[in-house]
Amino acid sequence: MQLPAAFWTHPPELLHFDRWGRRCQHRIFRIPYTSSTATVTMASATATPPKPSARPNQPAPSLWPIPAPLQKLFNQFPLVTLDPTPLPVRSQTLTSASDTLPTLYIFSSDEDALEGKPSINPTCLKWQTLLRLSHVPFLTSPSSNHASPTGSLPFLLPPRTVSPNPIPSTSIPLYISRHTNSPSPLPTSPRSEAYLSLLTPLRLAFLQTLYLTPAFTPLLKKFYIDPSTRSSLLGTILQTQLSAAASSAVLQGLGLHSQTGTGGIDSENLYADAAEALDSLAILLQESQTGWFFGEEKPGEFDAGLYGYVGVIMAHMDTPEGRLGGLVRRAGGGGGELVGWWERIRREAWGGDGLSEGGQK
Amino acid sequence: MALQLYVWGPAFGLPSIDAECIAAIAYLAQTTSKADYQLIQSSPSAVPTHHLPALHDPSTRTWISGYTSILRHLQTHPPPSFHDATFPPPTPTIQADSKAYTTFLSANATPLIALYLYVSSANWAASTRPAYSKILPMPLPWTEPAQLRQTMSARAEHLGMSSLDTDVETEKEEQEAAAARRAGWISIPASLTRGPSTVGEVMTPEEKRRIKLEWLAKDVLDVIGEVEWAKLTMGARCAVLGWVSLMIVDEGVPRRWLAEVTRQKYTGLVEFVEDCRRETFGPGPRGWESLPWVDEGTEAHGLGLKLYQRLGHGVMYEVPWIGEVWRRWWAEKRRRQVLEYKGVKQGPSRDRLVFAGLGITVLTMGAAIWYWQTLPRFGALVQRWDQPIHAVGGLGAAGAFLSSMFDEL
Repeated sequence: MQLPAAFWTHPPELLHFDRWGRRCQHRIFRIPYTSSTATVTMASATATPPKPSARPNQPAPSLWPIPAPLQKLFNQFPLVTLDPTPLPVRSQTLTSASDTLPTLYIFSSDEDALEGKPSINPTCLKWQTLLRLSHVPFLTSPSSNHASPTGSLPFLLPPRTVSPNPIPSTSIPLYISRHTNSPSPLPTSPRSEAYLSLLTPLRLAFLQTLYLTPAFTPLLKKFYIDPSTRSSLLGTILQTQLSAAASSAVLQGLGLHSQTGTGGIDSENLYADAAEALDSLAILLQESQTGWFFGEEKPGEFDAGLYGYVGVIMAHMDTPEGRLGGLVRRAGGGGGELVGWWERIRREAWGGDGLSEGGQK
Repeated sequence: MALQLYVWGPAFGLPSIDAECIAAIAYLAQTTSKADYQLIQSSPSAVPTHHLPALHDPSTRTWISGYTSILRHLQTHPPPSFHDATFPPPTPTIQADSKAYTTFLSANATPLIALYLYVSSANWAASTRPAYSKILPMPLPWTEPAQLRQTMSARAEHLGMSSLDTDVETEKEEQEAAAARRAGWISIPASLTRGPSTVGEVMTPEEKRRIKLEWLAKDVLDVIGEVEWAKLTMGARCAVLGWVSLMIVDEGVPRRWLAEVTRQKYTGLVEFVEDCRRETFGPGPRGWESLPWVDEGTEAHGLGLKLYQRLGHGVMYEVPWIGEVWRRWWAEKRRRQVLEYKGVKQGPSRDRLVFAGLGITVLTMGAAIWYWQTLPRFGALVQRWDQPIHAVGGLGAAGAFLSSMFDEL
């Protein structure tokens, strides 16, 4: 049997014959733009072996060669190669540091969040304060409710290398106790539950001040509308929606039908209720020997919860139009317990380096 | 002139069907002599604050609604015979504790009562709704209880127990069945299907959710069950009387989970409330009947007309879209009336502007509709062919011949 000459020069696995008995030439194509090393073998039937090329590494001469002077000119380009555009400021921190640190998503502005300044939202400020009080290092990132898996801010995203699952705000105490080796939080005492409900009248008065008092519309815009949209039309719509939501929340808290509108809200009563609540809290604070609620050695969740409201009120609403600031200052018969407590927490959590002054400028 | 306290009427053997109202009645009964106040059985649509209890103080020309606000008003503007032994409170701690527990009751016990008596369809249909029908004058039961149920359900929404409201579920199932029939799916007639076969299908929603409900009740009752109420102020004691006496209501209530939990596990609290009730309203089970109740009808002339006006508002509230606007407008208007009555200067009313705007809108739409009517209808013929006038051309072949002759001429 006569074997073709190529049999001896090609390894047998590469030697193929087509159905007419002609030897097939193998070409190996590399698929462009893929990182994998997949190759495609295609057989094309050729009767003759390929001729060795005369200039194997030279590109084939093109049909119309570029004239040398023009080629020289084109070779000058690009004149300047620009550096790649840097990522936005907030993502830079996230990409560099969030491998090792958890991120707390809060209502805030880009700059404030970068510096870890206090949030402008009472609930966010509560958990931010609690994390800071327990000395858990974390980053903050501005966000909105739409980004949250639970539908409301804040939530904590653990370091990317640890776990991809976000932690809702209610599980933050557990996270803290795990990461600071402190005992897990004790179940709250009945008395502290009762005092915790005093935040309800405070919340209603807060909503009335921020969302439903015309004097605070600029603040509302700065807090919640400007970070969301730059369109004035959308801003107006958003503001109307926010105010409507706030008024229905206040009405519901007062036991009225939620569509009664602002005509059903007696703001005098709201503020009087808030004043009584703050008075009671100030009295509770007077009882304590340690300067924190319920005689705790260090500020806990209750302190953080109240600080959420008092911190925002004292930083942004302590103006003549904002009655809540005055109420906090006068609480408990003018002894200034709450103000003293507020300053203590601020020192404890933000180190008194003026970070929380940010809102006052 | 005597203070007037507008409250929901009596039900379940209690002076009122609402916790805040019971508390307010109890406080007035304990601190003020009967000559100085009147209790008026009413509904929210009759008072400008849209919420009961509402106190009308003719001497200061004010309307105050809500239990804590009424308490504050009575303490700052006391009627002549007012005497509250715990006011001012003996120590600041008692004051603070009383305030905290009162707020806790109104914030956390109200949702429980809402679940028990309002959200639960069986209880609502069997006891609460009939009770409202009894205490409201005639056309009002058509509108007010439904709205009240909406409000109360919204207050219990965060507890996530809306499945107790089986009306919604049944309606959804019926809709699904109807949709399946329309789509042509074969449906088995109800007479041929088997009855409920598993335990889950036989159980009521309350039984299915019993553990969760007990847990919710325990959250609240653990806090108020440990308090020494006798040491707190009168205001706090009246509050616990109001809320807990509604939580232990069980006569005529088909699904009594809340009453059972409270009576079984918190006997001290229940005993205290029973004692407090006897002390406040007298020994008999219906001792509150001796309080100075005044008929709403003698207060306002032409009560019938007013009732129909209130009914009209209730009906308007139920109209989609317009109801919301109407409710807001009416609340705003009543508020302005109250403030004007009190002597507070008001800015110019925007009613005229609103009505002018509404008038212009209605006129424009009317004109547009009229113009639309004058346009030919879609598909109407724009061109018309009439039968040609019968001339010589209509006479067949001869006519054609003749007409061509005429044309040539």
